[in-house]
Amino acid sequence: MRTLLFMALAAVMALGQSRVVTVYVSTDFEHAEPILKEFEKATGIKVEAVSDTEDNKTVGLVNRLIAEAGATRADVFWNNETGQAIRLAKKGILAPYVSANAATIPAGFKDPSGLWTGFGARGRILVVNTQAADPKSAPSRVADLADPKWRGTCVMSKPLFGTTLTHAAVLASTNGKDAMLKWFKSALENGTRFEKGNAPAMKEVSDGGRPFGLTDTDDAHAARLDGKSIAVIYPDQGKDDPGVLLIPNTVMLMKGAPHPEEAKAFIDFVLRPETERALADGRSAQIPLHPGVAKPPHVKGYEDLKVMAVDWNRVADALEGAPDDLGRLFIGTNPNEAVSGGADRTPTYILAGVIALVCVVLIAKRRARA
Amino acid sequence: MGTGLELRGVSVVVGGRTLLDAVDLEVARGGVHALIGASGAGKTTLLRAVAGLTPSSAGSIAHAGRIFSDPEERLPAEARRLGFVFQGHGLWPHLDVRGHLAFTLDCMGVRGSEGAVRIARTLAATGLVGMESRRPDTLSGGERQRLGLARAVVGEPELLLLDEPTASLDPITAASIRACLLELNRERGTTLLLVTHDQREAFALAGTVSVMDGGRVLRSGTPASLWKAPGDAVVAAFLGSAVLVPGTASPEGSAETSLGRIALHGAASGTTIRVVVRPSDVVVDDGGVDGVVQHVAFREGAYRASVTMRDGISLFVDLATAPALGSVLRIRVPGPCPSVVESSR
Amino acid sequence: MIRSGRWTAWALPALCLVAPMTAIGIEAFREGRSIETLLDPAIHGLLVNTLALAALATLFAVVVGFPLGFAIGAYAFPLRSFVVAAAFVPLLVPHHIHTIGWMRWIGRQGWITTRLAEDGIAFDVRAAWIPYVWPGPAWILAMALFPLVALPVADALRRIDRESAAAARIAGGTRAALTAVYMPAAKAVLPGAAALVFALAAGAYAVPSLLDTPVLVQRLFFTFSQRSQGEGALLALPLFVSAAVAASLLGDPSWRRGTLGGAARAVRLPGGPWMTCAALVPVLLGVGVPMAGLIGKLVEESRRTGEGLAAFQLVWARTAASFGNGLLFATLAGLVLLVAAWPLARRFAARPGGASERGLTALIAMPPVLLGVGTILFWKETDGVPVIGGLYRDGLILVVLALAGRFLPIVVRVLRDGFLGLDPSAEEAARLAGASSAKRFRMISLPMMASTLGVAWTAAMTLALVELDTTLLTYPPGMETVQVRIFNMVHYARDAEVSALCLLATALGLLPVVIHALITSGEEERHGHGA
Repeated sequence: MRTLLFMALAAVMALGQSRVVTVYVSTDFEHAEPILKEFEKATGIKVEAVSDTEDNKTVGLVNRLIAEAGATRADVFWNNETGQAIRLAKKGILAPYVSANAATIPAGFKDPSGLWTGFGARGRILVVNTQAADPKSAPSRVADLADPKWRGTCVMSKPLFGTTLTHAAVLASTNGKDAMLKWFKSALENGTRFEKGNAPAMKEVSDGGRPFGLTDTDDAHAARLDGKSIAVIYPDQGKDDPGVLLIPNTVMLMKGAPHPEEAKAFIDFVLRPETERALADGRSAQIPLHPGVAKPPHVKGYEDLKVMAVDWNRVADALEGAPDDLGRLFIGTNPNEAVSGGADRTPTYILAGVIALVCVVLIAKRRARA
Repeated sequence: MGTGLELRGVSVVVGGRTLLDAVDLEVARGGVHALIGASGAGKTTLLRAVAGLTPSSAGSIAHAGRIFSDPEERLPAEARRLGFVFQGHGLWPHLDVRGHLAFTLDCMGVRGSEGAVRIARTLAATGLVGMESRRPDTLSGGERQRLGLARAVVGEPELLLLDEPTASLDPITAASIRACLLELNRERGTTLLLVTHDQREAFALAGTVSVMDGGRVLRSGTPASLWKAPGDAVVAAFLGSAVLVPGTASPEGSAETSLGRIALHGAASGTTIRVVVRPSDVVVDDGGVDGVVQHVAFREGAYRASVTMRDGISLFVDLATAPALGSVLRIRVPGPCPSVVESSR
Repeated sequence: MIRSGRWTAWALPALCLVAPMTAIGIEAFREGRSIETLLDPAIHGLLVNTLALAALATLFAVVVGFPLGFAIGAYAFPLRSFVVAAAFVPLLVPHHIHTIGWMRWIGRQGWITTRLAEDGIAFDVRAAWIPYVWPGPAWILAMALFPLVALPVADALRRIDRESAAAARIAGGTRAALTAVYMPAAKAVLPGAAALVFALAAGAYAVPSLLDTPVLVQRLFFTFSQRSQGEGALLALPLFVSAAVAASLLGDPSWRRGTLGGAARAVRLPGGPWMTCAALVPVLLGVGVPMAGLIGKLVEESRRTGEGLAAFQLVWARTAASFGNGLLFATLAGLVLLVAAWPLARRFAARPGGASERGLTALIAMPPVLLGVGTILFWKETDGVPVIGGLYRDGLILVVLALAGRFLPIVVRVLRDGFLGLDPSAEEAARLAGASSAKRFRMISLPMMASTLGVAWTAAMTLALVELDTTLLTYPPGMETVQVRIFNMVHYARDAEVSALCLLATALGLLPVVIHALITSGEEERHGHGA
């Protein structure tokens, strides 16, 4: 214990000597790290990072942030999607900060009061295995996954975490929760396979399990880098379609941040167009939101696409209620057979039987001992 | 200065089971006292209670005027300054022979040349010279026992407790350990309290003996007094190869039994009694009763025959020549023999 | 601490385990939540799946681990020490790596699956064969957990009394020795080991998550992350209760008070090369399969990119500091664990199988994320308090205590078995010699327990080195560990780097085992020569 105390004190003293900012990062750390290093070099402020992926359902930085609420150890949270940002905003554990560098980011990708700001987005796209199907005659709308025309040919992630959950919440915010749930049920009934995440859904397409899939741009780009024959379709680009859903990275200032000034400096730094450029060049091939940012040819520009308009406040509301119903639908006792619904009481009876059996054995054991 | 070891009404209750039941015991200072009895009689518990390893729930224990425990206070085991030889040795696997003794002396603050002298003396006394740097797992059973003893005595305690000190040892080693103990007692005046299930060892070593059963001391006394007046069937059965023959006491100091009339030591304490008949009391005599030889063994210069009488009682008789198996001997018990009443247990 | 007083024994465990669990328990019942949440039939379905999965995984682990433990405990055969070292490896490989390794063989596009499909046999590792029975995930879990059966069995056989084995051999040859002495000794530790595997399998997340098995933990994590931490904690209650019931049903291994000796006195039956082959089967399953997966991927990637072993250099350059952090946390947690476990283990050794001991075993089934969040919830109350508040914000105390809390039940069990193997009168003898309690601890108990402490330290270090979930919630900013790094890379599909990093991390995890093996082999030799 004494060693511990000593080390802790030493750490405190070391920290007291220089300016620090504590950043929780849930974007690919391999990309984030150079940006953090660059920030350190440019400002002399040391970055203490805690890294994780938003897709990490087990633990996740969001759980850490929520648990630490009221005595946060983080100054800044750099999240690689939007859903959790609006959830944290709703929980009241974020502080507003409007960065000057956010001025040219389109209004649809930032919180008006500055609780969070988006940059470098991923698109929710359709992918086609070009060895199994012709991209010209492939689904072109997200809604097609529930269309009998494409019965049994599509795959997507379960809408329980990450961008797919945010996507479900966006659907609920525009069409209403019941319509959203109905759509997922009909997609299930239509034989659309629901994988655990977007990467497995992508893999299912690139390995030839299903010809079509719905996933994120970064997963599609990673598959292409791995030499898979796939094509990307930006869905819902028709005249009456809502447009492709873009989900940006978000950066936010924590309420009660121990180093607020350093935190603001960091947010300003991340929101520069250069960061978006780096994210576009990287393996995640993210779409810049600042106008005029140079990008590699495989990355579509924000201006080139019909982009879905999203009211993030309504999405936040939808996120409160949706997970419970989606959880019921997608973590049933048997995946992909959850559609039948209805309260099957068999497990309750089995459980009662098991409990009774355990009681009998315990009593018998006690008797035997006596 | 007080007397020797004194136990007054000592009880030990563990988990609702009474292991010792209001035991009184006195051992004179410098005396040798043996506790005998069957397994589970409470002998080891009594020893552990004296050592402070098992807390007593009632009564008082004191030695040489120092109170070990009474209802008000309890001296912890480490402050009682006594020696203990464990039945399972309780040696320290990571220490060599010298290490065992050095550690014990170190705990008492004896170090340096004084310690070395004591260690050398103890090693010589217990026959461990030349084994100083050996660890317990390289010692034989007898050597481990000696080490256990050496460790217990190196601190020169006034009171030494021994739990079955010669069990599972060959007779020669056992005899040398006994000699060791007696010498210790004689030279240093160490009070010895030893537990044994072997009556002959108890009689060979101890000035006084207690017989225990069911957590109680049934009888204490010198070996001779117990031999002559066991007073209790359980005690009698434990001393020598005694056979209890049922009989009816008569007022003139004898008893009528199936073996005929047997003279008694002292007055019988009832009418329905048992006569304690030992091999030395039995003679072959034409005026006796017929019995059939079942078994013969040569034993310490004589043939000991087991003879079964008509009513099923088996007696032992010592003979100069070996009788044939199945032959009939006429048996008589002239007495005087001790008698006991029917045990209440 | 040294003297196992009733309350002092619990002081450190209370800090690292009881306090966080209490904090999370309070969170569970806040905002008017009640047990009623658990009456949902859907929850019952998930619970039945969980129990069946855990039971099947336990069965598989026993089927594979028991013969292996028996072989290395009872027989001497060529390459035995290699097999013993290899038997630790599955514990060092994180569950998600086990899963990825196995999926290369039996996943949808796995070798075996494809081969079977060519023969017209449809095989889906994720499917339930009959309702509530999911053999695929159960098998992979068992492959990660079977050393927990094999190692205690081997240890029990090592402690067999030389004479009782000899007596049985005289009476009826090797066969009699096996049935009358070796088998009962091995069987005696089996229930305890099975209880441990069951508890771990019931709380396991990575395998059912990657294979999409509908178990309660999935729902729990979903609720925890997307709804509320309190409600998620409430869902953990059935897991804890199930593990506690399993621990009391399966009971406790019977034990014997040991006498002198131990390792040096172990007797082994002669086993030929065929025994080596038999013992290598589970090793290949538990070690070969995931390792082959990792190495295969590395080779495949290096061929594709033509960069050779550049992946190793790359990950080493980037993560050397993370290796250091992991070692630091593990070392400190290992020390705290030994200090915290010692007095508890002594108490439990005095009365094995008590209620508090079973409760502690059951805590193994508690999802680690709950412990992590509980630790934060408890310690953040100290925020603003001088010194202690600083520990919360910047110190290592959270991660060290959380790791200690996570593995306390296992280390307590290891130490308790060590205490049970000691001759109790050896310590009593020291007391009667007049040694103070501190001196007894230093000069007698500690050296006598040295080998057990070595085993416990190895276990603690190893487990802490590969831990991910609690570490992620509690590590100080800027001090991430290798496992955190690996998990992030898995998500971003950096297969070559992940494979290289996993191989490095496994080598790191083996370090304590190798050190321990080196120390003890020296000791065994010394004892052997003395005898």
